[in-house]
Amino acid sequence: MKKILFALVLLLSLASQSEAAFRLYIVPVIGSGVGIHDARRPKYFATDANGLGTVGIITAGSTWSGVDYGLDNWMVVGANLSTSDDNLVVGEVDAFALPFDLAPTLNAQQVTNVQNKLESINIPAGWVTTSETWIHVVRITLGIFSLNQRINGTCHVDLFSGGINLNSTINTLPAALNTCLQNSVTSLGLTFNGIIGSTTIRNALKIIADQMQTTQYNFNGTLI
Amino acid sequence: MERSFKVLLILLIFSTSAYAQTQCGSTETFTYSNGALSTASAGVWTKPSGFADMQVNTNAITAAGADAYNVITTWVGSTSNQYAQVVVTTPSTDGGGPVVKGDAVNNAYVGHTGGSPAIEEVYLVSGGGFTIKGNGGGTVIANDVFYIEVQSNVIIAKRNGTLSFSFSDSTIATGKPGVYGFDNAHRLDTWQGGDFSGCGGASIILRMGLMGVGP
Repeated sequence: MKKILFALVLLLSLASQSEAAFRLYIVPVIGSGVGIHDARRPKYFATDANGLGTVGIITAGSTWSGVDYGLDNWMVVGANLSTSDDNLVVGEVDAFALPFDLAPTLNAQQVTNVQNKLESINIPAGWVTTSETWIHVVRITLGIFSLNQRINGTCHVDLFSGGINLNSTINTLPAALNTCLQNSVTSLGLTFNGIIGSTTIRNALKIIADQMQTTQYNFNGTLI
Repeated sequence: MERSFKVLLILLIFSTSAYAQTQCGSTETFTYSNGALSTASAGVWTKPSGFADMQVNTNAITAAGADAYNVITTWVGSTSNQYAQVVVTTPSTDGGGPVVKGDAVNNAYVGHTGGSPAIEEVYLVSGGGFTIKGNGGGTVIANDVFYIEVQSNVIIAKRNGTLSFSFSDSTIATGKPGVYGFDNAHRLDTWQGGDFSGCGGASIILRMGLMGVGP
């Protein structure tokens, strides 16, 4: 009996060493997107430009899935990597790994880190405070990702094309992009209420994403 | 006159044996003459602009070394909640798979088998540009069934009825099911598409137990 218990403890110990838990990573998107052999793909998860998207710095064939920021070159990837693969991705300076547990609120240092990361990738982040939970921050972020995805699907453009940035106002958008933005919002079943010409993109994105704050996102069956 | 009627009847049987559509779903066994799928099927399948046609080859389909996809021309099912599956009779390191939410302006979620050994992958195609969205599910072997479904903004890929991977994506609002391929080493057969309107789109062929991995 003792031997069986010892074996079980040993087995559990080995499993915990080799298997990290599921987590989310924000990584750059590489690739031109021209043809499947140079598809846009998450750096470190699918690095090689040979159409064989499984080849990255992680173990070939590892299962992952991602939510891209439309045609902006960032992707949130969800995966349950081995500890060694997780360490490889976490060690990359342009990769941002979220905590395994998204339930707690952020501390002051984490707020600073998250704000810096999000603002650097065209995600407004002034609203992130120590009263926010990680899961709420992630859902708002993924809501903004979803909007830029629909803009891509509707008009095949990036919201941040042609010099548009977070501080641009709605009335400075080219007419076609403005129409596309509004059509995309409607297409997602959302409203443009509260957004006027002088509203900044920064505030507009947050207003729109707030309407999706209870939406869940699926990463290989894990709902965020 | 009687002979003409018999010929007509035979032609009718042949034309319906390749493709059959009901309100609930469609099946396709690609029993057409060899050649470009949109032409060989007499318009049952449409090729979006900017892409190559899938190629019929001895009652199966393959591609010719370029991104190729086709969608069902006349789709009566849901354009936002649907599935497609295809039997990968011969897998390759750069092969094809089912398509969901495909449309005429080069949007689609396309299945691809990639790598050596090959595993399932799904790519978003938007305006002709490709983005890989996920992969996994173990090695694809001959006669595996590659299945993709979309329900609203969630895409699920399965192999032989078992979950390979899933992801959320809001890029494409609506479209039609179809089929994608790249190289000419892979072969696909027995395609099925349907929606989730209640009868599941199960075909007579699949109900007979040949593959039997409908949703």
